[in-house]
Amino acid sequence: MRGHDLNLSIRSKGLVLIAVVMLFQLVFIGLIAWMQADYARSEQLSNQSRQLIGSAESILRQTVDAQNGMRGFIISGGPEFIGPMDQAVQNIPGEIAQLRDRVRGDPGRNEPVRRISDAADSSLQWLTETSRLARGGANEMAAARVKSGEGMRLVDQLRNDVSNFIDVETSRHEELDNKVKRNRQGLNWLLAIGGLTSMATTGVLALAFWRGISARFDALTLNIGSLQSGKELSAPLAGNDEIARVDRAFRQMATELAHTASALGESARQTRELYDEAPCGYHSIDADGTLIAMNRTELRWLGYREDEVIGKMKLPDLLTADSRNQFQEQFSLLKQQGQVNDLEYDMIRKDGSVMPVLLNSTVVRDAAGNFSSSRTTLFDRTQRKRAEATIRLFGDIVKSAPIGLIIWRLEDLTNPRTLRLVIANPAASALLGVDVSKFLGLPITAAFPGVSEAEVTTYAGVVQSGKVRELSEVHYQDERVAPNYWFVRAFPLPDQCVGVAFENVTERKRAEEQIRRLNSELERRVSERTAELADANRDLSQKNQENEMFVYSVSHDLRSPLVNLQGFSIELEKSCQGLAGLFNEQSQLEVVRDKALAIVNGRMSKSLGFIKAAVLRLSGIIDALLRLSRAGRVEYRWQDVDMNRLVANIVNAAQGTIQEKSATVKIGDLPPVSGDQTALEQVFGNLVGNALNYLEPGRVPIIEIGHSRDRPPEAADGCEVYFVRDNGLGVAEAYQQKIFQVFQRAHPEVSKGEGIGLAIVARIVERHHGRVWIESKVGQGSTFFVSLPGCNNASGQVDCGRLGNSTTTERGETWSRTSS
Amino acid sequence: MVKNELVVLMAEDDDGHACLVQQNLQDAGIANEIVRVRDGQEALDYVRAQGPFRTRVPNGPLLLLLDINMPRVDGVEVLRQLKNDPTHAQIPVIMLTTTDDPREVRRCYDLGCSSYVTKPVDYAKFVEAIRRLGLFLSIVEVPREDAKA
Repeated sequence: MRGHDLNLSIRSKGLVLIAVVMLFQLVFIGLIAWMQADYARSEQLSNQSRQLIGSAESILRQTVDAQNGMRGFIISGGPEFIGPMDQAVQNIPGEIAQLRDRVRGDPGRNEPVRRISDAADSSLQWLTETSRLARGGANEMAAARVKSGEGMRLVDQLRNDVSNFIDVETSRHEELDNKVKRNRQGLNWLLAIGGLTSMATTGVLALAFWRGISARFDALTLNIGSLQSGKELSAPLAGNDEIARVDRAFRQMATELAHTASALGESARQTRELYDEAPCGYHSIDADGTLIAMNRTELRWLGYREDEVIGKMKLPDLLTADSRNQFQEQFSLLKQQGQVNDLEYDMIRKDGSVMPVLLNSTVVRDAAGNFSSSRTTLFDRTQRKRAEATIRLFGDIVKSAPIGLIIWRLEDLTNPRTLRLVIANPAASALLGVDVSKFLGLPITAAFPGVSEAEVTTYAGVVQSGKVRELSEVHYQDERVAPNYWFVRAFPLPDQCVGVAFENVTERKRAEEQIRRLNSELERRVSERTAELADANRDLSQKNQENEMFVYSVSHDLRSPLVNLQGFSIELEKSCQGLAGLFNEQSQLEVVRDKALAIVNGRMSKSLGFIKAAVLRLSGIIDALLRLSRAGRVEYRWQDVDMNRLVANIVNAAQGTIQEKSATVKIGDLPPVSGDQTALEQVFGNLVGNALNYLEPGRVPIIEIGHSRDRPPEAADGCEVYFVRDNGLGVAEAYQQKIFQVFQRAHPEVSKGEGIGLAIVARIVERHHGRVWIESKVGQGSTFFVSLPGCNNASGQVDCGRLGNSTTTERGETWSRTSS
Repeated sequence: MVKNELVVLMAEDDDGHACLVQQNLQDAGIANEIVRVRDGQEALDYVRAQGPFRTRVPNGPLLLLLDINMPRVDGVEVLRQLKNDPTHAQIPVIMLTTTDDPREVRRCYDLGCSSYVTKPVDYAKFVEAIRRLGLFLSIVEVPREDAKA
């Protein structure tokens, strides 16, 4: 049995071993049982033969006994003989039946038994008859029967039969005995062989066990031993049973162990580093306080090297005098209790400076429970001390700040009425005029009965939401607290608390109200004044409009008669010429003709000449007035106007005059404006025309048209300022305002005109919400400035004429009237 | 040259102007009958053959010379009414006025006037204007009043 070749597990191997043994024993036991049964059967058969023999002998004996008794009775007549005979007669049939019963189903014995029973019956029958004869007194007949020897023959027959039967049975019995004897011998042999075989099997099994299991366990044990001692391992066990698996598991374990060992080394290094470089100090002291370990952090804190401290210094050496006293007391406490927490010590650095630390310590005890060493952590308290100082500082500030501060705690988060006073600063009492410290623990409505529901809800809300709330003007008043307005800031604090900081703003509020009142008064006055101004403006605008309408209709009405004056004076002239022609004819008297001609050609034509001149002059004035009124009335088409092109067109149109007067015209870059193209052409045409007209004699005229970047301070954002500059006659200062008025002319002697041009310019610029003004010096020249709204402004939105000294602006260009 | 049957109706409140226009038209060779009325209402009455003119039988082509500034009904109103009346919308209307306001001019053209002539103070110009008016009258195609009555 080669277990590792069969690839069986140990369980399977064990089962196989047991099965083999059991099978063997089963066969053996079966064999024995069978032999035993055979033996028993043989013995039973032998016994049966013996019983049958006994039965047959008993039948024969009783029959003989009865025969003998009969003879005796017949011979002697003594009743003592009749007894055994009767007995026999009585017993025999039962015995025969018994014998028959015993051989029922045994065909080999039926025949002999039947013969025995027949013989016995015949003999019994003879006896019965004979006995009846003898008892009936027929002794002779009975004796005769006896003498006939019939009785004897019948008994002999029976005897013969019984004897044959016994012979047969005896030989059968002997044969069976022999067989039993053989059986017993065989059994003995079997037992002997069985025992030997069993021993042999056990031996084989033991061998198999050793090879399949025990030897492998040995190899395994060896390997484990090698593992323990770290020796080289032998080859892995073959097969796939548990032992092989255990072997493999051990090997894997060995590999992992190797890894773990190296990891353990790394881990130890890391642990050491953690110890050394931890952000807190570590040290250990022995029972008399000598330092036996200290990490690098603590060494760094204190400024010592490890070899200066370990085993050389005691912890008290590193403490200030106060801390040393504390230490003596607390060290013994540590030894008793096993640990101390949050001890505050001041340590002395190597350089003598003091370092506050927080110290926690536990005890390491030896097996006997005695103090062996301490394990102590230390935290740098410098920062904390600073923070504590800051907190104290803040506390002091809160105590002395002029702002009231009350802290409330909301006991039940859902019920604002459970706000209870936790603490208040002195300023709170000072500001409110009551000792707030007496209200500690009171609900808010009890402490301040005048507090509003809304205010309470607000404070509770701060706790619930965690959000800061500010109430700008809280009015508070009760029996003890004077009415005042408060600025309140409520801010959330830990532990369901809300801080309420408050400041008295009554004075401020009063001042603000004063300012507000003054402001509104001012606003009212301003709006009144503005309304007045607007009214005045509207009046002015209306008057302007009425004026223009008046001028327009008057001009018109004047024009009609002028047409007549002019027309009929021409007609008169024609008539005069006709008259003169008539008078020239020779038909007239010479005296009359001369006088008439003198009148017609002299006074009449001279008068007509004056009339015509006056009419033309009047017509000119009326035209000017109409133009002016039209400048005020014509509807504007607002658009972005390209000023470069507009001015270029104007200069081109005036080119004839420019060349005639040898003038130089310079044009700068002109940004566009928002306005009416035609009206603006009129403005700049007029200004350029004026510049070309009023020249200083003997000076080469130079005209500049440009854009001024220096906006006058009063002009609004979005306004563009243009100028037209000449080096001509200039305008005397006294005249500078007047020239923008109608019919006002600075230099009537220089050129013809109605004095209407600049009035129209002013009117147009005004309607553009702009402004025109002049800077001039007599003999040097004039500069006309025009401010106009830039392109990005819709009409009327920007006022470029504010504070201007020309004319008032007029808003709302909507009216227009026509008439003939 | 000028169709003789054409009647020129001149509405002009100023006698002098009427005289001057008449004289100058004649000087320009316009021989047509010129009927003068003194205001817009009379002009409308004439055209519609009503009021003082109810006896008039419209029987030939008619042309209107309208001053604007007149008592009662002004020229622009006459123009408006006639152009809104299908019976008389075809009658040519020439505005003759002292105003040279471009908006007034445009308004009259918008209402449907055939021509617009300003009366300049300068007599030479006036004569020239009337001459051109005569030229216009000589070429204008005027429908007969009774043609569509």
